Amino acid sequence: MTGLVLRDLRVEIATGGRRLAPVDGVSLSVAPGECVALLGESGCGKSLTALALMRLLPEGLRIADGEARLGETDLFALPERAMQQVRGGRLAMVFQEPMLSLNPVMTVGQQIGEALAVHRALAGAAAGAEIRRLLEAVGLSADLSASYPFQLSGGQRQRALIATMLAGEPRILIADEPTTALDVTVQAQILRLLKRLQAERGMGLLLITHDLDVARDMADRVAIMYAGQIVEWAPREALFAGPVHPYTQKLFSVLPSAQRRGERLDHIPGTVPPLGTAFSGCRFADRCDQSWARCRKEAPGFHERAPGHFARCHLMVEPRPAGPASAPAASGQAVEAQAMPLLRVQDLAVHFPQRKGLLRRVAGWIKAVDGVSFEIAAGETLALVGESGCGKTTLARAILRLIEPTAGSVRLGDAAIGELQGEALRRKRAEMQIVFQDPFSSLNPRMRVGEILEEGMQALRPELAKAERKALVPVLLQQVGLDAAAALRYPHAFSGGQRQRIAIARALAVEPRLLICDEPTSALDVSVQAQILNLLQGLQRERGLAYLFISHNLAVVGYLAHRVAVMYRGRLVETGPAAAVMAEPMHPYTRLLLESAPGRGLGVAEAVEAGTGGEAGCPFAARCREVQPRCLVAMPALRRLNDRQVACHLRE
Amino acid sequence: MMPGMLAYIVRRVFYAIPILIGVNLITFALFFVVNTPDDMARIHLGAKHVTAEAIERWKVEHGYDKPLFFNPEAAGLAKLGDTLFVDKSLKLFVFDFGQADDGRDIGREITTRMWPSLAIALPTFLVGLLAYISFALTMVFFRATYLDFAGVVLCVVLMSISGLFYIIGGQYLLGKLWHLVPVSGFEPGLAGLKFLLLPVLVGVISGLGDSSRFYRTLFLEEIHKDYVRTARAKGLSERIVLFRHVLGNAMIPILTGAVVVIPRLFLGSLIVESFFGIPGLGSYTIDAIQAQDFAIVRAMVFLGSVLYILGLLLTDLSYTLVDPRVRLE
Ligand SMILES: Nc1ncnc2c1ncn2[C@@H]1O[C@H](COP(=O)(O)OP(=O)(O)O)[C@@H](O)[C@H]1O
Ligand code: SF4
Ligand code: SF4
Ligand SMILES: [Mg+2]
Repeated sequence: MTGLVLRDLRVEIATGGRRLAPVDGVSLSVAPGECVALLGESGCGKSLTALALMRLLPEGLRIADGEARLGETDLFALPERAMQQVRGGRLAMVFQEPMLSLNPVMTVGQQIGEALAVHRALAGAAAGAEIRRLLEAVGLSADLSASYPFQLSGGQRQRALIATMLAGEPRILIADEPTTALDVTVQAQILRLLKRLQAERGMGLLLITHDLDVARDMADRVAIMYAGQIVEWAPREALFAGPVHPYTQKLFSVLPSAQRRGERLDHIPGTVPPLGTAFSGCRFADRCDQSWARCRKEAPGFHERAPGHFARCHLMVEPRPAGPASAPAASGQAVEAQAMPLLRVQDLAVHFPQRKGLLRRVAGWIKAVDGVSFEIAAGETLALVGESGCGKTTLARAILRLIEPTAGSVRLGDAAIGELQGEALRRKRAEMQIVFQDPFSSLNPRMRVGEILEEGMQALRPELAKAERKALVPVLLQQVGLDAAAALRYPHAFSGGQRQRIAIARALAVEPRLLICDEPTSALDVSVQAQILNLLQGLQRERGLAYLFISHNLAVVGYLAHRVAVMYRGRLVETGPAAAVMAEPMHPYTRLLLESAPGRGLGVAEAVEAGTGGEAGCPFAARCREVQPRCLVAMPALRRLNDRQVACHLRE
Repeated sequence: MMPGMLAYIVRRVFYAIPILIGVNLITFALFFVVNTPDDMARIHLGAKHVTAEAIERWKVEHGYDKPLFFNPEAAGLAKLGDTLFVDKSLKLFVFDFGQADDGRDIGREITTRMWPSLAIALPTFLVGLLAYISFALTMVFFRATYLDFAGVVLCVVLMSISGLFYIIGGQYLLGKLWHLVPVSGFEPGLAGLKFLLLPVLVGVISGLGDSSRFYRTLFLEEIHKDYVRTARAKGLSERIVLFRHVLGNAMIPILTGAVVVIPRLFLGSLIVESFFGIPGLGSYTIDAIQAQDFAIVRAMVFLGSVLYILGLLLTDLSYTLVDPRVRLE
């Protein structure tokens, strides 16, 4: 058999006189033509496992133990020269960051050609023909051979990288989160591509992901990783029918979805144990709600629960002794939205000038936001969805007047934000706050958390005395689920999820009525995402906050939002109640987004990747499966249909 | 691409005009307002017997007897034209540098003296670039070993030794003790090659520590980028990874950083030229400073600024040649 078998891999790093093992006894196998998903939260050791297989561990880390066989070849015993023949040849790897993984100063063709020269001794015209064939095999135009990476979109770069790695005709391809940095629609395309290549070439695929839904669509077998070990290993059907390890069960129960609307999401207490934690028993014991005395004394073995279905847990061989039951997840219904609009956005437009020529004259306009209207009532959540670059963040910034809109109006309550100046504007700004995607860069690293919270209050609630501000800090921290002692520490002492809580506390400090959340959970692991979503729902219940929730994650939107607005190239193409839009999308673009969301079997192939469309007609026409002749000449207007709005000629 | 490039060059030349005017004004202020013609005369005539007449006579002899900006005695346009500003400063723009105190034409002097300067500075620049890059690459190839560590220590040691030491040490060892090369002097043509060896060697060594350490940092920064990992994952050998990928990308900041000094190579080095007796522009400047010849110093300051601005323009242009991501717009 020519598959890949890994046994008892241990990766070590020496720091401060101690040897730590971020990967500690991992075994798995990938058969030819099979897809194995390696799934876990960030930092659990997935990437290091893959890099160890390639013998490309970063400096300072080394393979301390274990055996890897690719067919008859003992990978860890090969001399470096022979290993170079394997790398990119029989065993290849695609990386997470398509933006950074290609050499910026070499053309795509040159980069593929390098691999052809090493592994297939091809050069000249033969190499040129093979490069074209490879580009076409990954769905790219052969003309892109002469392009530089910066001229390609994220999806195209990932395809180019895959083409490079196919050049050596690998038997096994490792893909480390190949779609994490991409839009859902592009993600679906890349996953479909991988699946097709795998079937066509009888190639084994080791797919590393943190997304259960991606594993559901792609994998034949799944390995769940936690703290450097595999805790569950099962065929896909068995795993999705009934995960047996408590950690896997939790991973399923923290996932938001439209079916879970109004439920409080389950959560995993605590955080992933940091590297260097000394374990005495089960590594998950501190966070496991089924643990008992034995779990802390004795590390569980890897038990076979059913044929081919393993789990690292004492429960597999011994029932849990009677004891206090775990706390049931609290549940409650989100308040239904009130009717009075709190925010009213009308025909809002933001155009950026595009300069050209000798005198830098304005040659054209980039219409980032182009005539957007919507309302949000108090206590309501409106989700704004769309691919990256469609104008979501610009719209949010224009509402807050962080950039001046080109046209249109924004009313908050009875005040027109566009007409306010100075003190009056500042007071209204306190009523609208924003939480950003990146909890790492949005907090000043040189200020203590308490100072960060006070600073916002000082600027936007000048009526508060210093003592009053100080007194509010612990109250705010407690509201977002942090300890009062957090006020004295600096942001870097907190994890991603905790920082996002701090950012939310900072926003709440000025008592806003509207909170704009720009992809607040997309940089976070699923278990942390569940905590933040629960927090946002709780705050809405208690304070009647309205949310403008910007997201590309449709599962989150379906779970959280009352209404949805779908944005495409600066315009709204569909709005309506969340449940209705998700169940029955009316615009072809909304349907494409929903079909692209992972966990639904990868949907139908889209002919074209996002690109430029005609100037006159429907902006979506170039990608639309139902395009009509009139779509190319006339722009469809946003029309009302009962409680929904759609901009598509098919709905007129 | 070509018309865009042309428009870009034209625009950049336009941008350079106000900068040059500013440089010209500052030079003028330094040499005529801060240090007035009376002061110059006094310095030249010595402190002992300076009478008002002697100062006047010196100023007339050297053409410094006109008003700064406005000449009420002249007629018509000459009221503005017949001034020190036009005479001494505006003429610099057409590379009319006037005469030195010894009566020789500065412009002619510059065109003859720039060749010896270039004969030293250009080889120093080219050999240096090659040596620094090779040394840095070697350290990077052996990164995180004792060899790399020893290389860094050597760099720091070289950096902390004064340039004068290399000159004097080189002259003593290679010139006096081993009689390999002449201690100093210059001769045009191939026969003068033996005079160039020592100054070039000294020039290269005195820059070795600083530049190699900087290039090593650039390489190391590059080597940890994702695309280098991709190159390794393709199965390329470490040699190809280093030379084609790491060097290919790190050369962009190295080359463009080096281009800025190319125009100034004509000016030579003050210290090297005066120690080795090279009749170039560097020693010309040093001599002029010692002789208090303000006309020469002013000409060299202005020329230096023009060449620097030219260097910046070349830098930006070189980016478009070596980096496909940069398009002049
Ligand atoms: N170059 C490195 N030096 C030190 N520690 C590292 C390095 N790379 C990863 N680690 C540590 O190893 C652990 C596993 O990392 P990784 O395999 O990247 O996780 P994953 O891919 O599952 O997110 C983490 O605790 C991480 O901090
Ligand atoms: S061994 Fe115990 S602590 Fe670990 S997962 Fe099983 S029940 Fe939980
Ligand atoms: S208007 Fe035409 S092109 Fe646009 S979405 Fe509707 S059917 Fe497709
Ligand atoms: Mg990873």
